[in-house]
Amino acid sequence: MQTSPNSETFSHSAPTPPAPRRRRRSGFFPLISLAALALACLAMLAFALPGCNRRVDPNAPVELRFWYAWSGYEGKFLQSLVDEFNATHPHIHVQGSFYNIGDKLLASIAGGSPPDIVTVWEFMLTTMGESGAFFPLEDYVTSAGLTRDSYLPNLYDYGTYGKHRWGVPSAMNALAIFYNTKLVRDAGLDPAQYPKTMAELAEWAKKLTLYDERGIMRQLGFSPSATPVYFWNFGGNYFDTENKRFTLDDPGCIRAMEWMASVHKSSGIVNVRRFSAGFGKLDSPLHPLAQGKMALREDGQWLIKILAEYAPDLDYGVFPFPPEKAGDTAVTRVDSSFWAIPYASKHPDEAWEFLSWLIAPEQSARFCFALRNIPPLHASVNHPAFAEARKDPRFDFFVREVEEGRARTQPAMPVGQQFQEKLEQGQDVVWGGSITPKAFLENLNMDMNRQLDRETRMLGSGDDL
Amino acid sequence: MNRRRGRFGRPEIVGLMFAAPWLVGISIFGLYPIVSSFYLSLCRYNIIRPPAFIGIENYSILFTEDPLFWKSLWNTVYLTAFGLPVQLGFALAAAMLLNMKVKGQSVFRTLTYLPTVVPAVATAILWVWILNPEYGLLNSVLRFIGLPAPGWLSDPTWSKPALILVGIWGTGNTAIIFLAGLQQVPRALYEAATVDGAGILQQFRHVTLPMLSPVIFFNLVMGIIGSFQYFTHVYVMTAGLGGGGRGAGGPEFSTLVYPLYLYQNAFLFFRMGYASAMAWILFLIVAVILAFVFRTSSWVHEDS
Repeated sequence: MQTSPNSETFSHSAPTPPAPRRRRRSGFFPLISLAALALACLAMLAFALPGCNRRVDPNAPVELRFWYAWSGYEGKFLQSLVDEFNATHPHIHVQGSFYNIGDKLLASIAGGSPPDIVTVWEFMLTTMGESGAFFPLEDYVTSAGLTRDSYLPNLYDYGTYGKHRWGVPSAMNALAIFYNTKLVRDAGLDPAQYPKTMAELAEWAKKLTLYDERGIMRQLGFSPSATPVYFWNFGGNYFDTENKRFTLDDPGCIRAMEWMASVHKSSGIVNVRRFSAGFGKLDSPLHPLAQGKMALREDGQWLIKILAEYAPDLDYGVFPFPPEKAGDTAVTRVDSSFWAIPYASKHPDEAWEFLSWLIAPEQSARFCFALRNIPPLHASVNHPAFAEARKDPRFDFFVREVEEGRARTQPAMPVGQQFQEKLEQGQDVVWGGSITPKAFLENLNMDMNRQLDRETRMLGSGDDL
Repeated sequence: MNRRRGRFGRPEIVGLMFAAPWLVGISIFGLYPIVSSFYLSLCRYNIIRPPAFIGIENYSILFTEDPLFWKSLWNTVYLTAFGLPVQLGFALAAAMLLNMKVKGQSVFRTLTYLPTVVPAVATAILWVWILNPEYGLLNSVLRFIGLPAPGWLSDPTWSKPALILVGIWGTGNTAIIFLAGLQQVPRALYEAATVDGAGILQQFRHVTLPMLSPVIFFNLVMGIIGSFQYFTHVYVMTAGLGGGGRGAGGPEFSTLVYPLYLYQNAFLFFRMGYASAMAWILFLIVAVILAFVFRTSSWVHEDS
């Protein structure tokens, strides 16, 4: 517009032909008017927005927004609990809604109007909490009378990093190894004599992996992927919670990853990948275990419900992860999503009142029963509302793994999501054989500690909140 | 109101008023984010806390410490260098076929363009099934004619070629632009060439290509830009079961394209400053490549 040939033609319609000097200046006018208009617009927004939040009636119940991450049957059940709370607590009204955990929460926090209670993944909790996204819950938890003894073993500190508790676990999953009884028997193995060492498990994996005469895989024995569980069972510790350092170069971790790599190698990783690419959805009748495509599979107790629904005739069983050496105690992993209260919530007290009701033994037991998950409190797993679930010995096996202290949680860390992503994708490179487990873990350790340092520098010690 | 008070005349004011919604829009939703993303690229920023200025640290980490930055850049360059010529060639061939006077011409044109109408996510999901190494259509055909059936998206050596294959499916737009270009070529030139004894290939080489070169150039430039932004298909096709971009980019990072890694940094790892720095580097890379393409565009036939 300010270039001369065009303004020449434009000026024909002007009342007086512009003087050259004026024309030269006209280049600035759009900028000035633009800035003025932009300011006017912003000012209008600024005046309009605060009006939205005005409370009208001081006696009206406090409105809370609760975002949960369950849909379908589970979502409906959770919503029924919310309705029950609303009916029994007239001074609070909770509005529950489903959301996909992720960007939306971040956007709502950035926009200054997050929900009052929210569900987040384990890995996001500490990263976001340490950044100041969530209200610390340690005082609330203490005042609710919840102590180390109220929780199942290893779970009291779950969600706590340094001195702050950023969330409370909602409904938990524990891992173990499922087996398809027929496939195990067909290979001449006895499910009652399940593997007692990692070496035996590798042996089973090999025997249960079958190829047809053309060399095409038709049954996959076992494909280990729950890396932390193997770290632990090989005596490795990958995160030093006290000093807040990664210790992935721990000899136990390296041995664990070498073992995992050897299992993938003996099944033929290229074949494993293409065979697994043909697996159907896990929460459907196409589950590889039900389809007889996989003989052993690490999975959570939630699968019991899926199989009961979609493959009621399947003969299957469960056994625990073995230790590295016979006779040692093996552990498994238990994990959970978390309920947290965003820091910007205007009603943290009411939000906690709702949350403490939701995690109380009875509600927690009912919710976890509906989901076939494991509740985190002793009082919940022993609650009558949960007794029905424990009648199934396979399900009860998972509960006892946690109850009797053989389940551990991933340590809280402020770079959890990044660690998870880089470990999962990176170990794929290890299985492919282009890097040794040792080199991979050493690189990852260096990388993650650097990220941790930077994060800590940015976040401070976490005590300034 | 005194008309002379204003420093410029009424028509200009009216003009600006009419342009105002656009000016406001572009400055708030275009200019401001661009400027602030540059500032954020010099900060450590996770959305929740205010940005902390750290100078060029993000850039130096990218260049010196982050192997995935190079890996993702390589993946994107690979898909551009090998994918774009294939796609342009395919689109040109399709356009030339569609330009032939045959029965049902409009039906063929519609069919060529049809896949472009399908949303990218739907296309991606469709192709996940076609490329399924066990039950996929493509491997069934390959097995039937006795060729080896690769693991496609599950195999790091085949995953990028698989993506290029999927890209061909979406060349309808490019083909239509080529077709429009082909119809601009005066018939007289072909007639003259025929009189001079030029065969089909010579006609293509000495008439079609030069006359079409501005259109090729346009498609090349748009293709390069599009290819460096390539995201949706990988995000959908390689994502793990968790969704939300988690686990995408595999196997062995072989499909971790630059925009996907940028996205992960921003929305999975909450490293907005780092992601902003990546965005600016991408912008510079595309700018340099395009400057080179423009510089070497002497092959483009000007006076069409």
